[in-house]
Amino acid sequence: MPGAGNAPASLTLVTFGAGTLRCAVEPYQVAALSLASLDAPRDDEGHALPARHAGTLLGLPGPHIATGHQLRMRHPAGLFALDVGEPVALRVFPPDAIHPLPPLLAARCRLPFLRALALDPTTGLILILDWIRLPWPLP
Amino acid sequence: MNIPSSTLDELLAIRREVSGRTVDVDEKTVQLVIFTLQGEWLAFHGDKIREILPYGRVFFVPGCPDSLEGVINVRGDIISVIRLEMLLGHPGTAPSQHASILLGQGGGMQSGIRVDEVLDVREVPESAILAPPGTLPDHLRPLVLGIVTIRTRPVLVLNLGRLFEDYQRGLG
Repeated sequence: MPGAGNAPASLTLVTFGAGTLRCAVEPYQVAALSLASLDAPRDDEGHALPARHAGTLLGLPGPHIATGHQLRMRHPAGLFALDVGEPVALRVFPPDAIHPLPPLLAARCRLPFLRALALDPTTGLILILDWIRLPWPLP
Repeated sequence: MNIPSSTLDELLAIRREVSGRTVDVDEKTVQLVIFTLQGEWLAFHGDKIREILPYGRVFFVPGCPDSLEGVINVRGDIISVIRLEMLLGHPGTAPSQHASILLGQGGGMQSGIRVDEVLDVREVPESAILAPPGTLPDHLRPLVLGIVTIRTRPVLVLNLGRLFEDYQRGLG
């Protein structure tokens, strides 16, 4: 079958929580994982980074309480810090667990960074996000 | 002496009437999936409904309008679920005790549609489906293919493809 040999055998994702939801991003978008501190997040040169809670960016009702884990995310405009819920994990998914957005959902969802969905037998639905599509400055 | 007819007599009269109706076997029929939604009887053409699923776990997806309830897992496929009542201009409601999800396909796409209760799947003669009544509200006109009487109740037959296409464009 032409082209079939090029299909990736699996997809590795960094998974994390946002409220009651499970989310994931491709690892190349994550620069670092750190324990959140009370101090404002800074890059390696000491510049302050914008910080958001994953629940805020997803439009979930607040208040959003930092759980202690912070992902340092890469965006074309720069780094930003993302407070996420536990557990944070690096997981490998088979291709048939990854699904494009259903057409009506793709047409009506207001989150430009929601790219796909994954089904996990243990945790249920996982939202696969592409923070690179986030508007900048961050909402 | 004038003897009033018994309940049995009345029943038998009705049954004779029903069984005595001639059916034109050559007449084209259409299958309808008939369901209720907020007290109204509605239907889709059967060839547009792939499956009727019991209402189960619907996963919430953030960033969607209230009319899009979420997604379901159908044997490993992820399917959206819409709240039909909101597309028809009614307020959203919680799923009823007998709620079902119709797995519909139309307009080149498929989606689940939550309804209050599936009543019947039956063949009706095409001639039994009449033009939509002129009293329909404007917003329903493009979505209604016709009207048919089932068990003495009027049933609006909805255009599933048009519903999906309009929803994709922002209806509801």
